[in-house]
Amino acid sequence: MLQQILQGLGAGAGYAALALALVLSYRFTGIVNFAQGELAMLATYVAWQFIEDGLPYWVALPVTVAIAFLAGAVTERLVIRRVSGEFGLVVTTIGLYVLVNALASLVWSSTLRVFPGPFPDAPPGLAALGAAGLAGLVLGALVLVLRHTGLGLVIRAVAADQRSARLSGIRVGWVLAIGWGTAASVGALAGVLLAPALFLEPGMMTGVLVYAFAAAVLGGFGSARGAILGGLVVGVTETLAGTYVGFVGADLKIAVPLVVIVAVLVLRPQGLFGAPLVERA
Amino acid sequence: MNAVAAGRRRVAVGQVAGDRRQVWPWRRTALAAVLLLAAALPFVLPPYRLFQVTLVLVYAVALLGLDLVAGHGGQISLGHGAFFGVGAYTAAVLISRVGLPYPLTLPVAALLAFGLGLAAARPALRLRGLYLAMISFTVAVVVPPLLKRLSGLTGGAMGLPVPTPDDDQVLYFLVLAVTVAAFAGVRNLTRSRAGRALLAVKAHPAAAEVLGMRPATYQAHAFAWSAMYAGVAGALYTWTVGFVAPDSFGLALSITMLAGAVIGGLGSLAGPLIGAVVVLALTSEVNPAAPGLVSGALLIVVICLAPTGLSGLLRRAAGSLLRRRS
Amino acid sequence: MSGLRVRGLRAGYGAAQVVHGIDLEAGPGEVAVLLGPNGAGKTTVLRALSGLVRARGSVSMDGVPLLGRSPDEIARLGVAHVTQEDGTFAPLTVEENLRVAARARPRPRRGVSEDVARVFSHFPVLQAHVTQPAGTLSGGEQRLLALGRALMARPRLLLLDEPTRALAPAAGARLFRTLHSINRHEGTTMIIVEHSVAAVLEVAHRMYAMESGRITGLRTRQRW
Repeated sequence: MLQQILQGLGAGAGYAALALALVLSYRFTGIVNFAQGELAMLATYVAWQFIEDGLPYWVALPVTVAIAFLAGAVTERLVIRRVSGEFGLVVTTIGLYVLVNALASLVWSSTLRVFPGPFPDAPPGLAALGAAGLAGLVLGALVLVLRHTGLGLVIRAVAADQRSARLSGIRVGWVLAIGWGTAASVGALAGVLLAPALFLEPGMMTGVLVYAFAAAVLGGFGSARGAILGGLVVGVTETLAGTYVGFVGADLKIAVPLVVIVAVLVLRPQGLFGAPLVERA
Repeated sequence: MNAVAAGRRRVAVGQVAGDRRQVWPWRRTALAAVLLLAAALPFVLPPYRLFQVTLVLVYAVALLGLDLVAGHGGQISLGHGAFFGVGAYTAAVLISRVGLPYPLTLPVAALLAFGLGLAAARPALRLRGLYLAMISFTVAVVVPPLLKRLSGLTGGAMGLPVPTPDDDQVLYFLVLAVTVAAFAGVRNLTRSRAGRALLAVKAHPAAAEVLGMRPATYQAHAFAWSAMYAGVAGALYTWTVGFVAPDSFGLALSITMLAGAVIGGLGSLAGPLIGAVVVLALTSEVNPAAPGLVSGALLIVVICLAPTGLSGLLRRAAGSLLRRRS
Repeated sequence: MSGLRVRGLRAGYGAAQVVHGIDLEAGPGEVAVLLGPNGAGKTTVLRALSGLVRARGSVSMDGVPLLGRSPDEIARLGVAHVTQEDGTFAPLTVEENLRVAARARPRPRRGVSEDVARVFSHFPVLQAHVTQPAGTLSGGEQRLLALGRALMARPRLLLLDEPTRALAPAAGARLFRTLHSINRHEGTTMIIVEHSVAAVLEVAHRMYAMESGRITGLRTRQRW
């Protein structure tokens, strides 16, 4: 049972990271980025390619995260910026979802590939814990930057109120690009941490996106803390349900996030840490 | 005021819904001509082409439903592939396991899809539309594994073959009849009080609420109707194709349908028809990557450059052509 | 230093044009007040000046043309706009709100802490809540915080949209005295939109009357 919980935490760390990426995009642009998972998948393929070409894991990882940051920022400036309206924005992210997925299939084909974990020589329970710890470190660094630097202050201001930020002389466009870049980097981290267990293939992150939705909703969509806690809870719940609940089994584990989402929305729509999201005018 | 005269002002996606007093003169004769053409097709086309046209009609019905939610309602649903699948499997199971005659499977599929749509919409629509998008996405991902799990009923991952009507032409006319009824239904719905209320809710939910409309109720009902349309289309699909398999009704289908609806043009009657052609093209591609690249790129291009979709572009082109004449 | 010159300003929201060609002036260090009934277009004038609304005509501050620039660009040129809506960053603390507003200043950004202290001396109530999130303050306190933020930017031109709206009359009078003192000591040019003439009599050098998008009258104070 402890083994299962540790495994669940390891997976949960990945879900938490992707959920955090979703929350970041949401805080900056006000929508759910349906392409968040696919961008993460693309970044993971890039990392894989680097490793295939001989780069050591611990060099490939930061390089990939940096590339993901750029990709996220460019996506915001080139595509997201030009679309207005919630409907158009969400549909655009769906279009990106499809496009990026097809791109990955085209370049790398849909063959399953093996992706190394951060601690390949450690026993599985410990490796999962190590992965969770790595995620925790990165996210902790992110929080430090946000809370204690000038740049972090500016970013938080833009996330709170774009118009006031403009009137305060902040270059909101750049901050939005940074926000999306950060979201993409965090997503890349999620992809890299989950790929060893899921095997790298273009459809890898679609399921994860669903888990990330559940995590974000559970945490209260918009709360970073909630996304992280929600991810861990969803990860552990999914693993335990898959093992101990007969009907779920291994292939219907994907139903767990749906149950979580519906339960949260019916019982406590604001999740653990969020504010109730009523239909806005 | 029509979007044509407004010039280069950026139109929000689907905003053209409601201003249908547009540039088609001789509307009745045009409609009669189209119907006449449609009735003549089975006697003119080879069987495979007729099959494709039938499928276009099937998808058009589904997209009509999706347009209710997305175009008139301004909401995003990624679950219509699932409702389509529910309708398809309902018809398939009823025909092959219970022996129900074809036409009776339609109302059963319709009712089931309507009920599921209503149940699904209530919790999500009390909150922001983003929740509907997320939940429908999740449902779409869950449906194929669920169908595979219930293999006793559904035939599992291998799918369920269903005997189709012998006469292709009879099938075509059946499908055509349902399609025409569906179009007429949507037209009446959107012109009715409920339809206009839905538009008001979409444009400004808070104002609508102050005026006494309950946005959530209207949107939930619209969603249920649209789910019903998708279910009906699914049943028609089973009649036409004669085979259902779980993986055909997953997220990919939902996204393709949404893409078809947007690219065809939201909020118009021609849009779903054009969109259905797009869906057919995307679902019959052999190379798995190509439809993704095309639909993804097209979707983004349409949203950025031509939010009213292909039907909107055609309307503008026709409008400028007619103005040049006068 | 030539102050603010507005000529033929036309602005509105899409099809609804609200301001139909107005001329306006405020010399360096002067306070100009825009008076008028609701719907006259006064708020739109301020929004046009700060770049929130697209406008045509000519607007220049100390010779620098303002129209057509983005709001953050205009803010960095030394224009601070305190809007009718709150204008504070709710999740940030009072101090963080003030510090982030210093971003509008040209580099090097020195003296931020001193300026924060000075804002606290103008508005002591803010100092009492210094580590609280701005969203937990009362409406009136948030207005003062928004004003404090505007001052942090060391603006050359301060645009105030009904600054006393959320304040009780006594607090409003105090606010105008503070504005008066700031105008005298720091020479900040101000455009203030207000309802009541009485409140602004002390402060104003010029009073413009505005109605239905047009200027209908101007009074200048000779003695100061």
